[in-house]
Amino acid sequence: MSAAVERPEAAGEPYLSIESLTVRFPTEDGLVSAVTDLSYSVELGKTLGIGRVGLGQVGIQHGRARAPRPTYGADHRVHPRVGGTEVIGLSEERMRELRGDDVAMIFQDALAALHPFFRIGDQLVEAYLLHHKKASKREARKKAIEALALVGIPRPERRVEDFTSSRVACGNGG
Amino acid sequence: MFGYIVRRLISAALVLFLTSLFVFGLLYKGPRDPARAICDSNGRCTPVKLENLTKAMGLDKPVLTAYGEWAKGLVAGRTINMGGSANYECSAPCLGVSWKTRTEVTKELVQKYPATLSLALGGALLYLTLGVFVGVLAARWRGTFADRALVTSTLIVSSIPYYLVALLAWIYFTQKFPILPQSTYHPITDSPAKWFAGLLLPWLVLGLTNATQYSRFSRGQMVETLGEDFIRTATAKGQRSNVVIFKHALRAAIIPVVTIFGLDFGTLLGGTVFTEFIFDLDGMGRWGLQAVFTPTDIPVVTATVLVAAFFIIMSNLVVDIIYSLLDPRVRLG
Repeated sequence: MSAAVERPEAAGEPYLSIESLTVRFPTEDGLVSAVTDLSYSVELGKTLGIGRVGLGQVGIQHGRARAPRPTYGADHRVHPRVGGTEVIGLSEERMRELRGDDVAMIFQDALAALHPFFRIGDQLVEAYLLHHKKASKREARKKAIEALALVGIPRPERRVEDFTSSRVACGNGG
Repeated sequence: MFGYIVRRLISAALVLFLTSLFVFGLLYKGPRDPARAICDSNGRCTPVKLENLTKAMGLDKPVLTAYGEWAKGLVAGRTINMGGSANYECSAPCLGVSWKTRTEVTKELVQKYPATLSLALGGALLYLTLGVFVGVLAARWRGTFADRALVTSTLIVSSIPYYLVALLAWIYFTQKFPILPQSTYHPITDSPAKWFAGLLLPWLVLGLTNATQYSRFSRGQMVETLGEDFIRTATAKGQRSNVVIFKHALRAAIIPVVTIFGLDFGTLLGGTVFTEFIFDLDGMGRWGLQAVFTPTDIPVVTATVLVAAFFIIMSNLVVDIIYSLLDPRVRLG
Protein backbone atom coordinates (compact mmCIF):
# COMPACT_ATOMS: atom_id res chain seq x y z
CA MET A 1 0.00 0.00 0.00
CA SER A 2 1.32 3.38 -0.87
CA ALA A 3 1.12 6.25 1.47
CA ALA A 4 -0.44 8.41 -1.20
CA VAL A 5 -3.65 8.79 0.75
CA GLU A 6 -3.84 9.83 4.36
CA ARG A 7 -5.50 7.08 6.31
CA PRO A 8 -8.45 8.52 8.19
CA GLU A 9 -9.14 5.46 10.37
CA ALA A 10 -8.25 7.30 13.52
CA ALA A 11 -10.67 10.09 12.78
CA GLY A 12 -13.43 7.53 12.36
CA GLU A 13 -14.28 8.85 8.92
CA PRO A 14 -15.63 6.26 6.44
CA TYR A 15 -13.08 5.09 3.87
CA LEU A 16 -15.31 5.52 0.85
CA SER A 17 -18.10 8.03 0.82
CA ILE A 18 -20.46 9.34 -1.77
CA GLU A 19 -22.96 12.13 -1.21
CA SER A 20 -26.12 12.70 -3.20
CA LEU A 21 -24.98 11.09 -6.43
CA THR A 22 -27.20 11.47 -9.45
CA VAL A 23 -26.40 9.66 -12.65
CA ARG A 24 -28.19 10.31 -15.89
CA PHE A 25 -27.68 8.67 -19.24
CA PRO A 26 -28.27 10.62 -22.41
CA THR A 27 -30.44 8.39 -24.59
CA GLU A 28 -32.50 8.90 -27.72
CA ASP A 29 -35.52 9.45 -25.49
CA GLY A 30 -33.78 12.15 -23.53
CA LEU A 31 -32.02 11.95 -20.18
CA VAL A 32 -32.72 8.83 -18.19
CA SER A 33 -32.00 9.00 -14.51
CA ALA A 34 -30.39 5.79 -13.32
CA VAL A 35 -29.47 7.01 -9.88
CA THR A 36 -31.06 9.88 -8.04
CA ASP A 37 -29.61 11.44 -4.94
CA LEU A 38 -27.74 8.41 -3.65
CA SER A 39 -25.50 8.70 -0.64
CA TYR A 40 -23.54 5.96 1.02
CA SER A 41 -20.32 5.34 2.82
CA VAL A 42 -18.23 2.32 3.64
CA GLU A 43 -15.86 2.02 6.55
CA LEU A 44 -12.58 0.20 6.29
CA GLY A 45 -13.10 -3.52 6.77
CA LYS A 46 -16.84 -3.34 6.19
CA THR A 47 -18.93 -4.59 3.30
CA LEU A 48 -21.80 -2.77 1.73
CA GLY A 49 -24.25 -4.47 -0.56
CA ILE A 50 -26.34 -2.45 -2.94
CA GLY A 51 -29.36 -4.26 -4.32
CA ARG A 52 -29.62 -3.71 -7.98
CA VAL A 53 -26.77 -4.32 -10.33
CA GLY A 54 -25.85 -1.15 -12.13
CA LEU A 55 -26.57 1.24 -9.31
CA GLY A 56 -23.56 0.35 -7.25
CA GLN A 57 -21.38 -0.16 -10.21
CA VAL A 58 -21.84 3.26 -11.67
CA GLY A 59 -21.72 4.95 -8.32
CA ILE A 60 -18.49 3.31 -7.28
CA GLN A 61 -17.05 3.76 -10.71
CA HIS A 62 -17.49 7.44 -10.36
CA GLY A 63 -16.28 7.57 -6.82
CA ARG A 64 -13.39 5.28 -7.59
CA ALA A 65 -11.90 6.90 -10.50
CA ARG A 66 -13.79 9.52 -12.43
CA ALA A 67 -14.10 6.64 -14.85
CA PRO A 68 -12.15 7.40 -18.00
CA ARG A 69 -14.39 9.62 -20.08
CA PRO A 70 -17.73 8.53 -18.66
CA THR A 71 -20.51 8.15 -21.17
CA TYR A 72 -23.05 9.03 -18.53
CA GLY A 73 -23.63 12.39 -17.03
CA ALA A 74 -23.06 12.69 -13.33
CA ASP A 75 -24.04 15.44 -11.01
CA HIS A 76 -21.01 17.31 -9.89
CA ARG A 77 -22.43 18.28 -6.53
CA VAL A 78 -21.26 14.79 -5.59
CA HIS A 79 -18.24 14.75 -3.39
CA PRO A 80 -16.85 11.27 -3.61
CA ARG A 81 -14.12 10.78 -1.06
CA VAL A 82 -11.69 7.90 -0.91
CA GLY A 83 -9.69 7.54 2.28
CA GLY A 84 -10.35 11.14 3.12
CA THR A 85 -9.28 12.44 -0.26
CA GLU A 86 -11.66 14.45 -2.37
CA VAL A 87 -11.61 12.67 -5.71
CA ILE A 88 -12.99 15.36 -7.99
CA GLY A 89 -10.35 17.89 -8.89
CA LEU A 90 -7.42 15.56 -8.33
CA SER A 91 -4.62 15.67 -10.85
CA GLU A 92 -4.38 12.83 -13.33
CA GLU A 93 -1.17 11.65 -11.68
CA ARG A 94 -2.71 11.51 -8.16
CA MET A 95 -5.76 9.82 -9.62
CA ARG A 96 -3.53 7.18 -11.13
CA GLU A 97 -1.94 6.47 -7.77
CA LEU A 98 -5.38 6.06 -6.27
CA ARG A 99 -6.64 3.69 -8.93
CA GLY A 100 -5.87 0.05 -8.35
CA ASP A 101 -4.35 0.80 -4.96
CA ASP A 102 -6.62 2.73 -2.61
CA VAL A 103 -9.73 1.95 -4.56
CA ALA A 104 -10.38 -0.70 -7.14
CA MET A 105 -13.19 -2.40 -8.90
CA ILE A 106 -13.93 -5.95 -9.94
CA PHE A 107 -15.49 -5.92 -13.35
CA GLN A 108 -18.39 -8.15 -14.22
CA ASP A 109 -17.09 -9.93 -17.29
CA ALA A 110 -13.65 -11.25 -16.37
CA LEU A 111 -12.88 -12.49 -19.88
CA ALA A 112 -13.56 -9.16 -21.51
CA ALA A 113 -11.81 -7.30 -18.72
CA LEU A 114 -8.49 -8.97 -19.44
CA HIS A 115 -6.40 -8.13 -22.47
CA PRO A 116 -6.67 -10.96 -25.01
CA PHE A 117 -3.06 -10.65 -26.21
CA PHE A 118 -1.20 -10.57 -22.89
CA ARG A 119 -0.66 -13.46 -20.51
CA ILE A 120 -2.96 -13.43 -17.51
CA GLY A 121 0.02 -13.50 -15.18
CA ASP A 122 1.70 -10.56 -16.90
CA GLN A 123 -1.44 -8.48 -16.49
CA LEU A 124 -1.57 -9.21 -12.77
CA VAL A 125 2.15 -8.51 -12.46
CA GLU A 126 1.64 -5.20 -14.22
CA ALA A 127 -1.00 -4.15 -11.70
CA TYR A 128 1.14 -5.19 -8.72
CA LEU A 129 4.30 -3.49 -9.96
CA LEU A 130 2.45 -0.24 -10.62
CA HIS A 131 1.85 0.20 -6.92
CA HIS A 132 4.90 -1.61 -5.57
CA LYS A 133 7.75 0.19 -7.23
CA LYS A 134 10.41 -1.66 -5.27
CA ALA A 135 9.05 -5.14 -5.88
CA SER A 136 10.91 -7.40 -8.28
CA LYS A 137 9.23 -9.12 -11.20
CA ARG A 138 9.69 -12.43 -9.41
CA GLU A 139 7.92 -11.21 -6.29
CA ALA A 140 5.11 -9.78 -8.39
CA ARG A 141 4.73 -13.10 -10.14
CA LYS A 142 4.50 -14.91 -6.84
CA LYS A 143 1.79 -12.47 -5.77
CA ALA A 144 -0.06 -13.05 -9.02
CA ILE A 145 -0.08 -16.81 -8.45
CA GLU A 146 -1.19 -16.26 -4.84
CA ALA A 147 -4.02 -14.03 -6.01
CA LEU A 148 -5.28 -16.65 -8.45
CA ALA A 149 -5.06 -19.34 -5.75
CA LEU A 150 -6.92 -17.09 -3.34
CA VAL A 151 -9.99 -16.94 -5.56
CA GLY A 152 -9.90 -20.71 -6.01
CA ILE A 153 -8.50 -21.06 -9.49
CA PRO A 154 -6.91 -24.51 -9.81
CA ARG A 155 -3.22 -24.79 -10.74
CA PRO A 156 -2.60 -21.05 -10.65
CA GLU A 157 1.09 -21.51 -11.49
CA ARG A 158 -0.04 -22.84 -14.86
CA ARG A 159 -2.85 -20.36 -15.37
CA VAL A 160 -0.56 -17.34 -15.20
CA GLU A 161 0.98 -18.53 -18.45
CA ASP A 162 -2.40 -18.63 -20.17
CA PHE A 163 -4.21 -16.11 -22.28
CA THR A 164 -7.87 -15.45 -21.70
CA SER A 165 -8.45 -17.26 -24.97
CA SER A 166 -6.74 -20.42 -23.70
CA ARG A 167 -8.74 -23.58 -23.13
CA VAL A 168 -9.14 -23.04 -19.42
CA ALA A 169 -9.20 -19.38 -18.65
CA CYS A 170 -10.03 -17.46 -15.54
CA GLY A 171 -13.52 -17.43 -14.21
CA ASN A 172 -15.28 -18.75 -11.18
CA GLY A 173 -13.29 -21.79 -10.27
CA GLY A 174 -11.92 -22.21 -13.80
CA MET B 1 4.34 -23.27 -38.26
CA PHE B 2 7.11 -24.66 -40.49
CA GLY B 3 4.73 -27.01 -42.26
CA TYR B 4 2.33 -24.12 -42.72
CA ILE B 5 4.99 -21.98 -44.40
CA VAL B 6 6.00 -24.84 -46.70
CA ARG B 7 2.38 -25.39 -47.71
CA ARG B 8 1.94 -21.69 -48.36
CA LEU B 9 5.09 -21.59 -50.50
CA ILE B 10 3.87 -24.51 -52.59
CA SER B 11 0.56 -22.79 -53.23
CA ALA B 12 2.46 -19.58 -54.02
CA ALA B 13 4.45 -21.42 -56.68
CA LEU B 14 1.20 -22.70 -58.17
CA VAL B 15 -0.28 -19.20 -58.28
CA LEU B 16 2.85 -17.84 -59.96
CA PHE B 17 2.74 -20.64 -62.52
CA LEU B 18 -0.89 -19.94 -63.39
CA THR B 19 -0.36 -16.17 -63.46
CA SER B 20 2.55 -16.44 -65.85
CA LEU B 21 0.70 -18.93 -68.04
CA PHE B 22 -2.33 -16.65 -68.34
CA VAL B 23 -0.35 -13.49 -69.03
CA PHE B 24 1.81 -15.27 -71.55
CA GLY B 25 -1.11 -16.97 -73.26
CA LEU B 26 -3.35 -13.90 -73.37
CA LEU B 27 -0.70 -11.65 -74.87
CA TYR B 28 0.57 -14.33 -77.21
CA LYS B 29 -2.88 -15.01 -78.61
CA GLY B 30 -3.92 -11.37 -78.33
CA PRO B 31 -5.91 -9.51 -80.98
CA ARG B 32 -2.78 -7.96 -82.44
CA ASP B 33 0.13 -9.97 -83.72
CA PRO B 34 3.15 -8.85 -81.66
CA ALA B 35 5.53 -9.56 -84.53
CA ARG B 36 3.50 -7.36 -86.85
CA ALA B 37 3.66 -4.48 -84.39
CA ILE B 38 7.41 -4.71 -84.02
CA CYS B 39 7.81 -5.12 -87.77
CA ASP B 40 5.71 -1.99 -88.41
CA SER B 41 7.71 0.04 -85.94
CA ASN B 42 10.97 -0.65 -87.85
CA GLY B 43 10.23 0.97 -91.18
CA ARG B 44 8.34 -0.74 -94.01
CA CYS B 45 7.19 -4.22 -93.13
CA THR B 46 7.64 -6.79 -95.89
CA PRO B 47 6.16 -10.30 -95.72
CA VAL B 48 9.67 -11.79 -95.58
CA LYS B 49 10.68 -9.50 -92.76
CA LEU B 50 7.52 -10.38 -90.87
CA GLU B 51 8.08 -14.10 -91.28
CA ASN B 52 11.65 -13.87 -90.06
CA LEU B 53 10.58 -11.81 -87.09
CA THR B 54 7.76 -14.22 -86.22
CA LYS B 55 10.25 -17.05 -86.18
CA ALA B 56 12.81 -15.11 -84.18
CA MET B 57 10.24 -14.23 -81.52
CA GLY B 58 9.06 -17.82 -81.35
CA LEU B 59 5.56 -16.81 -82.39
CA ASP B 60 5.33 -19.57 -84.99
CA LYS B 61 5.16 -22.22 -82.27
CA PRO B 62 2.02 -23.26 -80.36
CA VAL B 63 1.44 -21.26 -77.16
CA LEU B 64 2.16 -24.12 -74.80
CA THR B 65 5.42 -24.98 -76.54
CA ALA B 66 6.50 -21.35 -76.36
CA TYR B 67 5.48 -21.18 -72.72
CA GLY B 68 7.33 -24.41 -72.02
CA GLU B 69 10.51 -22.97 -73.48
CA TRP B 70 10.08 -19.78 -71.49
CA ALA B 71 9.46 -21.73 -68.27
CA LYS B 72 12.47 -23.95 -68.91
CA GLY B 73 14.60 -20.83 -69.27
CA LEU B 74 13.34 -19.58 -65.92
CA VAL B 75 14.49 -22.72 -64.17
CA ALA B 76 17.51 -23.86 -66.18
CA GLY B 77 18.40 -21.05 -68.56
CA ARG B 78 18.41 -21.33 -72.33
CA THR B 79 19.90 -20.02 -75.54
CA ILE B 80 17.74 -17.54 -77.41
CA ASN B 81 18.09 -16.66 -81.05
CA MET B 82 16.44 -13.39 -81.95
CA GLY B 83 17.07 -13.75 -85.65
CA GLY B 84 20.32 -13.05 -87.35
CA SER B 85 23.54 -14.43 -85.98
CA ALA B 86 23.26 -13.10 -82.43
CA ASN B 87 22.59 -15.75 -79.79
CA TYR B 88 21.71 -14.85 -76.23
CA GLU B 89 23.12 -17.16 -73.60
CA CYS B 90 20.42 -16.47 -71.05
CA SER B 91 21.23 -18.17 -67.77
CA ALA B 92 18.65 -19.06 -65.13
CA PRO B 93 16.51 -17.37 -63.98
CA CYS B 94 15.97 -16.40 -67.59
CA LEU B 95 12.89 -14.30 -68.31
CA GLY B 96 13.59 -14.09 -72.01
CA VAL B 97 14.93 -11.27 -74.11
CA SER B 98 13.10 -7.97 -74.47
CA TRP B 99 11.64 -7.59 -77.95
CA LYS B 100 12.17 -3.88 -77.90
CA THR B 101 15.55 -3.33 -76.31
CA ARG B 102 16.97 -6.74 -77.20
CA THR B 103 18.54 -7.12 -73.78
CA GLU B 104 17.94 -9.92 -71.31
CA VAL B 105 14.85 -9.24 -69.22
CA THR B 106 16.46 -10.55 -66.03
CA LYS B 107 19.36 -8.12 -66.41
CA GLU B 108 17.00 -5.21 -66.98
CA LEU B 109 14.93 -6.29 -64.01
CA VAL B 110 17.95 -6.29 -61.73
CA GLN B 111 18.80 -2.84 -62.99
CA LYS B 112 15.28 -1.40 -62.55
CA TYR B 113 14.36 -3.01 -59.29
CA PRO B 114 16.39 -0.86 -56.86
CA ALA B 115 14.40 2.27 -57.79
CA THR B 116 11.08 0.56 -57.04
CA LEU B 117 12.41 -1.02 -53.86
CA SER B 118 13.82 2.29 -52.57
CA LEU B 119 10.60 4.12 -53.34
CA ALA B 120 8.41 1.45 -51.77
CA LEU B 121 10.45 1.09 -48.59
CA GLY B 122 10.71 4.82 -47.90
CA GLY B 123 7.13 5.62 -48.82
CA ALA B 124 5.66 2.72 -46.88
CA LEU B 125 7.77 3.42 -43.80
CA LEU B 126 6.59 7.02 -43.85
CA TYR B 127 2.91 6.31 -44.29
CA LEU B 128 2.78 3.45 -41.84
CA THR B 129 4.54 5.22 -38.96
CA LEU B 130 3.05 8.65 -39.56
CA GLY B 131 -0.42 7.34 -40.36
CA VAL B 132 -0.66 5.08 -37.33
CA PHE B 133 0.83 7.65 -34.98
CA VAL B 134 -1.50 10.43 -36.10
CA GLY B 135 -4.43 8.02 -36.04
CA VAL B 136 -3.68 7.00 -32.46
CA LEU B 137 -3.40 10.60 -31.32
CA ALA B 138 -6.64 11.50 -33.08
CA ALA B 139 -8.41 8.61 -31.36
CA ARG B 140 -7.06 9.72 -28.03
CA TRP B 141 -8.31 13.26 -28.51
CA ARG B 142 -11.36 12.33 -30.48
CA GLY B 143 -13.97 14.99 -30.89
CA THR B 144 -11.49 17.81 -30.51
CA PHE B 145 -10.79 20.37 -33.20
CA ALA B 146 -7.54 18.68 -34.24
CA ASP B 147 -9.31 15.35 -34.60
CA ARG B 148 -12.06 16.80 -36.76
CA ALA B 149 -9.55 18.67 -38.88
CA LEU B 150 -7.69 15.42 -39.44
CA VAL B 151 -10.78 13.48 -40.46
CA THR B 152 -11.85 16.25 -42.84
CA SER B 153 -8.42 16.60 -44.41
CA THR B 154 -8.11 12.86 -44.98
CA LEU B 155 -11.43 12.93 -46.79
CA ILE B 156 -10.24 15.79 -48.98
CA VAL B 157 -6.92 14.13 -49.78
CA SER B 158 -8.56 10.77 -50.50
CA SER B 159 -10.99 12.35 -52.91
CA ILE B 160 -8.30 13.94 -55.10
CA PRO B 161 -6.86 11.49 -57.64
CA TYR B 162 -3.37 10.44 -56.62
CA TYR B 163 -1.75 11.25 -59.96
CA LEU B 164 -3.03 14.81 -59.71
CA VAL B 165 -1.52 15.28 -56.25
CA ALA B 166 1.75 13.82 -57.48
CA LEU B 167 1.81 15.95 -60.61
CA LEU B 168 0.96 19.16 -58.74
CA ALA B 169 3.59 18.41 -56.11
CA TRP B 170 6.16 17.88 -58.82
CA ILE B 171 5.20 21.08 -60.68
CA TYR B 172 5.09 23.27 -57.59
CA PHE B 173 7.94 21.92 -55.49
CA THR B 174 10.53 21.24 -58.15
CA GLN B 175 9.61 23.53 -61.05
CA LYS B 176 7.74 26.63 -59.92
CA PHE B 177 9.24 26.90 -56.44
CA PRO B 178 12.24 24.60 -56.49
CA ILE B 179 12.39 24.07 -52.72
CA LEU B 180 12.90 20.31 -53.06
CA PRO B 181 15.56 18.59 -55.16
CA GLN B 182 14.59 17.42 -58.63
CA SER B 183 13.26 13.91 -58.33
CA THR B 184 15.12 11.15 -60.09
CA TYR B 185 16.81 7.91 -59.18
CA HIS B 186 20.51 7.60 -58.34
CA PRO B 187 21.73 4.19 -57.16
CA ILE B 188 22.44 4.28 -53.44
CA THR B 189 25.81 2.65 -54.12
CA ASP B 190 26.84 5.67 -56.22
CA SER B 191 25.95 8.37 -53.77
CA PRO B 192 23.64 7.94 -50.77
CA ALA B 193 23.09 11.71 -50.61
CA LYS B 194 21.95 11.94 -54.22
CA TRP B 195 19.84 8.83 -53.75
CA PHE B 196 18.09 10.44 -50.81
CA ALA B 197 17.65 13.83 -52.46
CA GLY B 198 16.21 12.36 -55.64
CA LEU B 199 13.70 10.23 -53.75
CA LEU B 200 12.68 12.82 -51.16
CA LEU B 201 9.72 14.27 -53.03
CA PRO B 202 8.36 10.92 -54.27
CA TRP B 203 8.60 9.56 -50.73
CA LEU B 204 6.79 12.55 -49.30
CA VAL B 205 4.01 12.46 -51.88
CA LEU B 206 3.53 8.70 -51.66
CA GLY B 207 3.91 8.71 -47.88
CA LEU B 208 1.70 11.67 -47.01
CA THR B 209 -1.20 10.83 -49.33
CA ASN B 210 -1.33 7.27 -48.05
CA ALA B 211 -0.74 8.35 -44.46
CA THR B 212 -4.07 10.16 -44.44
CA GLN B 213 -5.89 6.93 -45.17
CA TYR B 214 -3.85 4.99 -42.66
CA SER B 215 -4.49 7.59 -39.98
CA ARG B 216 -8.21 7.46 -40.61
CA PHE B 217 -8.23 3.69 -40.52
CA SER B 218 -6.08 3.34 -37.42
CA ARG B 219 -8.08 6.09 -35.72
CA GLY B 220 -11.25 4.06 -36.26
CA GLN B 221 -9.60 0.91 -34.93
CA MET B 222 -8.26 2.75 -31.91
CA VAL B 223 -11.58 4.39 -31.05
CA GLU B 224 -13.17 0.96 -31.08
CA THR B 225 -10.40 -0.62 -28.99
CA LEU B 226 -10.39 2.21 -26.45
CA GLY B 227 -14.00 1.33 -25.70
CA GLU B 228 -13.08 -2.26 -24.79
CA ASP B 229 -13.36 -3.55 -21.25
CA PHE B 230 -9.69 -4.49 -21.04
CA ILE B 231 -8.71 -0.87 -21.64
CA ARG B 232 -10.88 0.17 -18.70
CA THR B 233 -9.13 -2.52 -16.65
CA ALA B 234 -5.71 -1.16 -17.58
CA THR B 235 -6.77 2.34 -16.52
CA ALA B 236 -8.34 1.05 -13.34
CA LYS B 237 -5.04 -0.60 -12.41
CA GLY B 238 -3.53 2.86 -12.29
CA GLN B 239 -1.58 2.50 -15.50
CA ARG B 240 -0.29 5.66 -17.25
CA SER B 241 -2.53 6.74 -20.08
CA ASN B 242 0.35 6.65 -22.58
CA VAL B 243 1.06 3.04 -21.66
CA VAL B 244 -2.64 2.21 -21.84
CA ILE B 245 -2.81 3.70 -25.31
CA PHE B 246 0.44 2.58 -26.86
CA LYS B 247 0.85 -0.80 -25.16
CA HIS B 248 -2.63 -2.10 -24.41
CA ALA B 249 -4.80 -0.44 -27.03
CA LEU B 250 -2.42 -0.18 -29.99
CA ARG B 251 -1.46 -3.84 -29.69
CA ALA B 252 -5.04 -4.83 -30.38
CA ALA B 253 -5.88 -2.03 -32.81
CA ILE B 254 -2.86 -2.50 -35.05
CA ILE B 255 -3.85 -5.94 -36.34
CA PRO B 256 -6.32 -4.90 -39.05
CA VAL B 257 -3.87 -2.14 -40.02
CA VAL B 258 -1.17 -4.77 -40.54
CA THR B 259 -3.45 -6.67 -42.92
CA ILE B 260 -4.13 -3.65 -45.08
CA PHE B 261 -0.49 -2.64 -44.98
CA GLY B 262 0.65 -6.07 -46.16
CA LEU B 263 -1.52 -5.82 -49.24
CA ASP B 264 -0.54 -2.21 -49.96
CA PHE B 265 3.14 -2.88 -49.51
CA GLY B 266 3.03 -5.93 -51.77
CA THR B 267 1.38 -3.84 -54.45
CA LEU B 268 4.00 -1.10 -54.02
CA LEU B 269 6.81 -3.61 -54.47
CA GLY B 270 5.26 -4.65 -57.77
CA GLY B 271 5.89 -1.12 -59.06
CA THR B 272 4.09 2.19 -58.73
CA VAL B 273 3.20 3.34 -62.20
CA PHE B 274 2.10 6.93 -61.47
CA THR B 275 4.81 7.74 -58.97
CA GLU B 276 7.60 6.37 -61.10
CA PHE B 277 6.26 7.96 -64.25
CA ILE B 278 5.70 11.43 -62.80
CA PHE B 279 8.88 11.57 -60.75
CA ASP B 280 11.14 10.11 -63.42
CA LEU B 281 12.14 7.03 -61.48
CA ASP B 282 13.41 4.22 -63.66
CA GLY B 283 11.63 1.39 -61.86
CA MET B 284 9.33 -1.56 -62.38
CA GLY B 285 6.10 0.38 -62.78
CA ARG B 286 7.38 2.60 -65.57
CA TRP B 287 9.13 -0.33 -67.22
CA GLY B 288 5.95 -2.36 -67.25
CA LEU B 289 3.93 0.55 -68.60
CA GLN B 290 6.37 1.15 -71.44
CA ALA B 291 6.32 -2.57 -72.24
CA VAL B 292 2.54 -2.58 -72.59
CA PHE B 293 2.54 0.24 -75.16
CA THR B 294 2.50 -0.97 -78.76
CA PRO B 295 4.44 -2.92 -79.79
CA THR B 296 3.80 -5.00 -76.71
CA ASP B 297 6.94 -6.47 -75.21
CA ILE B 298 5.60 -9.80 -73.95
CA PRO B 299 8.73 -11.01 -72.10
CA VAL B 300 8.91 -7.73 -70.13
CA VAL B 301 5.19 -7.58 -69.36
CA THR B 302 5.23 -11.19 -68.19
CA ALA B 303 8.23 -10.46 -66.00
CA THR B 304 6.68 -7.38 -64.35
CA VAL B 305 3.40 -9.19 -63.71
CA LEU B 306 5.27 -12.14 -62.25
CA VAL B 307 7.31 -9.94 -59.94
CA ALA B 308 4.21 -8.07 -58.78
CA ALA B 309 2.36 -11.33 -58.12
CA PHE B 310 5.37 -12.69 -56.27
CA PHE B 311 5.49 -9.73 -53.88
CA ILE B 312 1.77 -9.70 -53.23
CA ILE B 313 1.85 -13.41 -52.37
CA MET B 314 4.93 -13.00 -50.18
CA SER B 315 3.63 -10.00 -48.30
CA ASN B 316 0.42 -11.91 -47.60
CA LEU B 317 2.45 -14.74 -46.16
CA VAL B 318 4.51 -12.36 -44.05
CA VAL B 319 1.32 -10.69 -42.78
CA ASP B 320 -0.06 -14.06 -41.70
CA ILE B 321 3.15 -14.82 -39.81
CA ILE B 322 3.15 -11.38 -38.13
CA TYR B 323 -0.49 -12.00 -37.23
CA SER B 324 0.39 -15.14 -35.33
CA LEU B 325 3.09 -13.25 -33.45
CA LEU B 326 0.78 -10.35 -32.52
CA ASP B 327 -2.30 -12.33 -31.60
CA PRO B 328 -1.82 -15.46 -29.47
CA ARG B 329 -5.26 -16.67 -30.51
CA VAL B 330 -4.05 -17.17 -34.08
CA ARG B 331 -2.40 -20.53 -34.61
CA LEU B 332 -0.87 -21.23 -37.97
CA GLY B 333 -1.41 -24.75 -39.12
